[in-house]
Amino acid sequence: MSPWLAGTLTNLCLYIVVAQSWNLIGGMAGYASFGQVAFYGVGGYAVALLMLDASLSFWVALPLGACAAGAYGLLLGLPLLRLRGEYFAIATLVAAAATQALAAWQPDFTGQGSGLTITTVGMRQTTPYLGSGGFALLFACLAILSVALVAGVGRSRLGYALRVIRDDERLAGAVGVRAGATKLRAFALSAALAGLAGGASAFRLITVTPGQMFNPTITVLTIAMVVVGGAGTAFGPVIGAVLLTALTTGVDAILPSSRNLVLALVIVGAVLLVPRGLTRGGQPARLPAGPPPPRPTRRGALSP
Amino acid sequence: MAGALLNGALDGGLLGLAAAGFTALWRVTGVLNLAQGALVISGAYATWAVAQSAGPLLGICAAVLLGAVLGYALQRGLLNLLPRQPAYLELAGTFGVGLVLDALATLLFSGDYRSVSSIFGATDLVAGPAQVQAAALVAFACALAATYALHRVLRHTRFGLALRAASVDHDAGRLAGLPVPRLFAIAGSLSAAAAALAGGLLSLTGPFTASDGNQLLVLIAAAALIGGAGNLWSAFTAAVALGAIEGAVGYLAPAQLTDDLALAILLVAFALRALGARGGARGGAGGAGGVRSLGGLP
Repeated sequence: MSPWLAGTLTNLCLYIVVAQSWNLIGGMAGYASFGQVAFYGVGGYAVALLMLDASLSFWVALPLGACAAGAYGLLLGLPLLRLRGEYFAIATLVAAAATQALAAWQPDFTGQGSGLTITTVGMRQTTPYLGSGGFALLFACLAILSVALVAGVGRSRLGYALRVIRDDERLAGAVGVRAGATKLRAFALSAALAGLAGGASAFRLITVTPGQMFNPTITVLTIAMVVVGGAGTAFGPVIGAVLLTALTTGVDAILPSSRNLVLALVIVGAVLLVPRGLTRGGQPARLPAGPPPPRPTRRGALSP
Repeated sequence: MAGALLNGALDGGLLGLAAAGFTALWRVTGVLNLAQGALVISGAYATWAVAQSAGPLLGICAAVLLGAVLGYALQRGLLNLLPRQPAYLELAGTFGVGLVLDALATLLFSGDYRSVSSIFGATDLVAGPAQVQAAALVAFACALAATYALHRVLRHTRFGLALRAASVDHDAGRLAGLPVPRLFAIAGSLSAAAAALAGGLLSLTGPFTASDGNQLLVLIAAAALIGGAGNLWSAFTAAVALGAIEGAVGYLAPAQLTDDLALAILLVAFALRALGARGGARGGAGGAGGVRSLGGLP
C-alpha cells in the first residue's frame, strides 16, 4: 500500500471513529455535544503522558487513554447533561475551550502551548512507530469497532432508551427509563470512543499541542459528517466520512491553501442541503410534525 | 490589581455589546448565532481596512454596515431556511459560517496581529491606583450606548413590537400581516451589526487576529447564558463581570485560565438557576420553541 493511500485511509477511519462518537450522544440521544473534541484531546494527552512519563507501551496506553476520556466524560456529563438543547450545546462548547485552556496552562506535565512529543526513536521509545501501513490498519480496526459498537448499541436496551430520551424525555421517565443514568452512560461511551481516536492520533502525530488536539473545528466537522450521513444510524456517519475524505483529499490536491475555507463551506452546505442526512436516518429528532405545542402567551414576551 | 480589574471590565463592555446582540437574536428567533465571535473579528478587520485610508470613524461605520449585511444574509440565507429542525443544525450551521469568515480573514489578511491607532493615541488616564487607556474608556462608552440603542429599538419601537409579536407566535404574526422572515432578518442584521461594532471598537483598543474569534465566541456565549435568554442588560453585565475577572486572573495567573473561569461561572450560574423555582435546565430538547420557556424572565 502506498503511503498516500494509507494516509488517506487513516484519515477516513479517524473521521469514522469521531463521527460515531458524536453519533452516540448527538444522533441517538439527541444531545448535540459541541465539545466532543475535548475527549479527543484528553485521550491524546493521556496516551502521550502515559507513554512519556509512565513508559507504558502504546498498546497499554491506548485503552487507558480511552478510559481517561470516558472518565472525563462522566465528570463533565454529571453537570452538563442536566441541560438541554442549546444550553447543552453551548455548555459543552465552553467546556471544550476550558479543557484546552487547562492543557495549555498546567505548566509541568502538559508542556503548555508547545505540547508534548512522544519518543519514537532511541532507547526511550516504548513502542516502535507504526508507520503509515500500521496506522492504517490500527485505525481501520478502530473504525470497525466503532461501527460495531454503534450498531450494537442501536439494537440494545441502551439504544432504545436513548431514542426514547431523544424523542421525549418526559415520556422516557414515564416508561421506566432512567434518563439521567442512560444519558451519562452514552456520554461516557461516546467520550471513550473519541478518546480512543485521540489517543491513536496522538501516537500518529507524535507531537500533541493544545491548539491541534482541541481544535473546535474537529467537533463541527464531525457534526457535519453525521448530518450528511444521517444521525442516529450506524452507517450514516460512515457515508459522511467517506464523502468528507474524498472532498478534503481533492481540495488538498488542488487548492491546499483554502482547505479551511472549503471545510467550513462544507459544514454550511451540509446543514443547508442535506439537513436530514442522505440516509434519512436523522429525521425523527422529534415527534412527527403536528400542530406546534401551545406556547405560553404572556405580556411582554421580550424583556431586554 | 484595581487597574487590571477596571481595564478588564472595560474590555468586557465590548464583549457585552456583542453578547447583547447575541442574546437579543436568541430571544427573538430562538437561534444561538455561533458566528458572533467571527462577526466581531470581521468588524475589526473592516475597521482596520477602511481606517488605513479614511480614518477610524469611517472604519467603524464600514464595520457596522458589513455586520448588518452579513447578519441579514445569514438570517435569510441560512437560519430562516431551517425552521423546526433540530437545534444542533442551526448551531453547526452558524459555527460553520463563523469558520468561513475566519478562513476568509486568514486568507485575506494572513494571521498577523493588527490594530488601529485611534485618535486618542496612547493617552492614559490615571484615577487613583488605576491607569486606563482613554481609547478603552471611549470604546466602553460607545458599547454601552449601542447596547442601550439596541434595547430601545427592541423595546420601544413599532419594529420591536412587531418583532416580539412574531417571536411569540410565527404563524399568528404571519396571519396578522407581519413579514416574519424579513423581521427576523432585520433582527439578525441588528445583532450582527452589534457584533461588528464591538469588533470595530476592539480594533481601536488593542491588537487582534483572525483566530481570536473562537475565544471571543466562548466568552460571548458564556455571558449570554449566564445572563439568561433574552435579557440584554444581564448579558452585558455578565460580560463586564467576566471581563473584570479575566483582568484580575490575568494579573494573578496565566491568562489562559479565563475560559476555565467562564466555565466555572457558567456552571455556578446554571446550578443557581436549577435550584431556583423555574430552572434553566428545563425546556424542550433541542426545540426552537424550548428556549422561550427558558430563562425564567418576567
